[in-house]
Formats: sequence, structure tokens, C-alpha cells
Amino acid sequence: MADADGQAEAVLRLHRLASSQGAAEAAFAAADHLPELSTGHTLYAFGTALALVLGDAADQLDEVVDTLDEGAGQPDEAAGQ
Amino acid sequence: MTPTPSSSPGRAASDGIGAWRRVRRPGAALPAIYPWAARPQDIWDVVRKIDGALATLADIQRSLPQPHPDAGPALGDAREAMMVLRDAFAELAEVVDAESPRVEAARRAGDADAVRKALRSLARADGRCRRRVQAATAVLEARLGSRRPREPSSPGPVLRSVEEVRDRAYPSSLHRVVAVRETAATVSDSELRQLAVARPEVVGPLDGLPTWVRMLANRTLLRRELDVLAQQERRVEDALHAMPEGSKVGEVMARLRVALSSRDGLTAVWALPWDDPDTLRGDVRARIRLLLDLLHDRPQGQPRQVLLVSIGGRGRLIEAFGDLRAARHLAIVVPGTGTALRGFHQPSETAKALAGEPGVAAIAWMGADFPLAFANESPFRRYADSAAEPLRDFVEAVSEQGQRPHLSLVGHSYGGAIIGAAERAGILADTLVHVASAGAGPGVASVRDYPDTDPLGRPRVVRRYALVAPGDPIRWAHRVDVSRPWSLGPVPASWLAAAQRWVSPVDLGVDPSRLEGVENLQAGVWLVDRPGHRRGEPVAGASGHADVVMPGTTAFAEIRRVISTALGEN
Repeated sequence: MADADGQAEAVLRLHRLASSQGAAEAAFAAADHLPELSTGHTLYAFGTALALVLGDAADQLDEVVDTLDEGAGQPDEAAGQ
Repeated sequence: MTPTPSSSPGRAASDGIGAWRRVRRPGAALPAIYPWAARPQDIWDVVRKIDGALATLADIQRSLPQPHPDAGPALGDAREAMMVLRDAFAELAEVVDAESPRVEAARRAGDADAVRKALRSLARADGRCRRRVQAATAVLEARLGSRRPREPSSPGPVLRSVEEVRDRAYPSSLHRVVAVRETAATVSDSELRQLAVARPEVVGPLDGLPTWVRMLANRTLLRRELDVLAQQERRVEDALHAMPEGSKVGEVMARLRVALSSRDGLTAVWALPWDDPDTLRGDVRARIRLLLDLLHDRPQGQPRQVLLVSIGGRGRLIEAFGDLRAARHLAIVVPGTGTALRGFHQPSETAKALAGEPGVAAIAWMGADFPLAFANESPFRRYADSAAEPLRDFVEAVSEQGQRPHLSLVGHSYGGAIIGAAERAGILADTLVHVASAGAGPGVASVRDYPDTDPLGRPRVVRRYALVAPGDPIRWAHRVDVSRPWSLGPVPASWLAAAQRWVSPVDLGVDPSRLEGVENLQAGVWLVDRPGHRRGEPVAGASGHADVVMPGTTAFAEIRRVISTALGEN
């Protein structure tokens, strides 16, 4: 169960890192606040791609959490029978 | 003393632009880069934020007990890309730190060659930074492109059955919701899950399917819509890059246009076509942020509950807060003028606050087009008319997910006219709350204009409430009474028919607080100190129009009370 809890907590943090206030925030803020910078014109594409890569990884890791949860649930179910 | 660029960025930037213009030769190819070069601290901020995100990612990677064969390399790519961004901006900031004082010194000395030389150095650093960020973006996009699509077993017969039921002709769209629900009841959860994965565009918006399967499908749709938005943003950026520098008059007109049609602060005055690339860019960027949050923000550790999403046109979005299955009371918040994907945070905040009580869930509803501006859109009934049936059908779809909860509709401003229109279409709700409502519904002059039964013949028993702050300008909307056109002023009898035809499109119904049997609630006072408001201050005037749905007011407490009190409860 400790593994499942630890995994769930880490994946939750990864989801938050994939939100607009997470890893992409620096790129988005730079694009919004420094529009004259020619780099600024590339930063939303960068931030969006970064957030999507992190988010897809978080979604995949959610599946691992589900597997661990199911594994942790089996002995209890067996004990209850 | 003349301020240095780093001590007074705004002043220094404008000085710098002036210097650049003075030294700029006609037809020079160099960009006007001085404004950002005067703000090295903004560039260092990016470096610091990325450092923070890199540390968080490293910590997450360390604390993952079980890796994933695809997620591991993806996180590695993300980390590499973040380091590229960090290093590119650190180098840029160092060049700016070194060159900005040289630009300033050369400008003061009137040395145009030295100014140009320093500006060229800054432009080269900017170009290097851009190329590195673009290369890192390409790596990330290659990673996204290599994602293996899921290939679930075919949902064949289930899909055909659902589509056949959806596309059949019915006496009303409400009959369709019931038919879809009955069909879904014959299909296993695992088959529904497969259908959601294989055909999210069918499942996500379909009223009558269980809410859990719609939420699952809508996560996939959100992900798809983000891909579309990312491409849109790139196209708009390219268009902006290709635009020639505009004239002063054009610039002023563009600013005026944005100010009139802006939806970030006050309600827009006039809705305009969104063909201005600057406005489009702001809108696309706001949508990207919203959709990323809907996908990956985790309030209280739980995923967001999206029951409808579409980015086409003005967009559609419905989000639930709280536990829909366990809720004894369910409130649906229907917002007013200015509601679009950008600006959806306002009804969301109201719904989220209402769902804060035990046993109460709430939904922010934007299942139709809303008027965007109060001058040329919100006086008209067409938005309320076209939202009535979608709202009625959605309410049917969410209210039968187990034991039927006590169901309330909270219509704010133009949303009041929408819930009135839905009532006219026979919506089956227990409590209707008109909050600063624009009207009782198009064509409604009395409660007798609402039907006694819904289109399925079920009896309607509704408690109605109205709440308007003293001095709220919405009262002007109630001056137009199509049943009494002379209420606008003396109208000769021969003009009555023409007057009625004229006011019909702007007929949002009578003031709901005058309807028979309506209980009027008090707007009261602010119960807490808030920025711009003191405890004990009355909720009144123009600001009272929005304040009545703000937590911390008597008005909000009254709304919360009536939506969490079913008939017969105290």
C-alpha cells in the first residue's frame, strides 16, 4: 500500500506540474510579459508541448497507480471471502 | 539623476525606444528590441522559475516507486527541454546585463554607432535563444507525435446502438435523453468505457449517458482540443510575425477594439468579430491555459469533472464540482453576458463555492452560446431561446444518475433569462433562483406562461426566488415589457402592433421579482472584508450586480440556503 500511496502522491504532483501554473508557467509568463523578444514568439509552443509531455506521462503513470491499487486490494478481498 | 535601465524599467524602456528611433536609419533591418533589454530582471525570473520546476521534477522522479516504460523517457525529454530553456535564458540575461548599460551610455553620449553595435549584440543573443527554444520544442513535439495511440477493441455493436438511438426522430429532444439513458442501462460499464476511449466525440457531449463515462471521454477530447489550440497559436504567431508595422491610427483603433470587446475585466460593451490577430492570440492563449488546467489541475487531489467541452466558435464547457452521485442537492449555475471559454472562471468560482457544503454538488453550465457584450448582444432573446432546450436536456441527464437530488437552477444576469426560457421549455427543476436576472424568460409575462408539465408529461412543481441588489442597473432591462409596450412611454394605439414587433426580439420577459408566488431574497451586506469592500457595507449599486454571486455576501448565503433546502425541509 505504501508503494501505491507514494506513487499516487508523486503522480498527483506531476499532474500539477503539467498544469498551466506548473513547468510551463515560466514560458507562458515570459511570452506574455516580453512580447518584443523574438524568443517570446516561440514560448507558447514550447510551454504547451512541455505541459503535454508531462501530462501524458502523468496519465500513463496513473495507470500504474491503478494497477498498484488493484494489487493492494486483492488480499483484502480474498480475506473477506 | 537619470534612472538606469534596471532601476526604472518602464522609463528606461521608453528612453531606449527614443534612442533607438533617433539612431535608427531609414529602412534599417534591426528589430526594436530595447524594451525587453531594459528588463533583465524579467529574463532572470524565467531562469528562476525554470530552476524551481526542474527541482520539482527531479523530486517527483526520485519519489516514483514504480516507473513506466514510456513515461520515463518522456520525463527525461521534458527535463532536457527545461534545461535548454533555462540555459538559453541565462545566457540571454547575461548578455542583457552586459549590453544594456553600454546602450544607455552610448545613447547619453549620442554615439549612434555604439548604440547600434550594442543593440546588434542583443539581437544576436535573442536569435540564439530563439533557435535553442525552437530546437527543444521540436524534441518535445517529436515525443508527442510518437505517442502510441490506444487501440481498444472495437465498440462496434454498442456504438451502432448508441448512434442509432441518438439519431432517431423524437417528439422532443428530451425524449432522446431518456432513450439514450435507457440504452446505456443495457450496456456494461466496460463496454461504455471502451466506447468512451474509441469514440470520445460521440460520448463526451451525449446527454443521457452516465456522467462518469462522459468525464472519461471529455479528458480525451480536452487532450485533442489542446493539440488543435497549439496549432492555432502557432498560425496566429506566424500571422503576427508577418504583419508590417502598423500606423499610429491603426494602433489606436486596434487598442480601442480590444478595449471594447475585452472580456478580462468588465463586461464587454460591444462584441466584434475576432479577426484581429492580437485579440485572437490572447484568446487562444487563454484557452490553452484553461484546457491544461482542466486536464491536469487537481483540486483536493481529484481530477476536474468536465461534462462537456468544445473549443469551436464561442466554445462549450460544463464542469461539475462535488460528488454528483452522492449529492442530495444539486445546483446548476447559469452565468450571464460575457461567458465564454475565456471568462469561464467566474461561474466556476460560484459553483465551486456552492459545492463547498456537505451533500451539495454544483455545476457551472455553458452548454450554449452566450451573449458577449451588453450593447449589441445581451438585449436580445435569441441566446436565451437557443439555450433553453440544451439546458433542459442537460438537467434531465444529470438529475437521474441514481437517486434524484433536489435540483436548483441559479441564473445570474442574462442567465436568469436563460433559466426562464428553459422553464418555458418545461425544465424539470425544483428550485429556480433569478439572481440579478435580466428577465423571467423570453415572452414571459406571468407564471401562467410556464407549462405545468414537461414534454414527457411529468408535473412541474417549482419554487421561485428572485434577488436583485438595490441600484443594480439590470433593472433597466425590465423597462421593456412586450405585453405593455406603452411602458416605454406613450404609444398611439395604431402603433401598438408595430411596437410589439419591434420589441419582440428584445423581450427577455418581465422582472421575475414581480412574478406571482416568487419569494424575494435580500442582497444584504458584505459579511467579510474583501478587497474593495468592508464588512457591513451594503451589496448595492452597479458593483452589486456581480457581488450578489460572490461568497462573503448575504446574497450568496441566501442562494446557498435555498439551493440546499428541499421542499419540506427547514
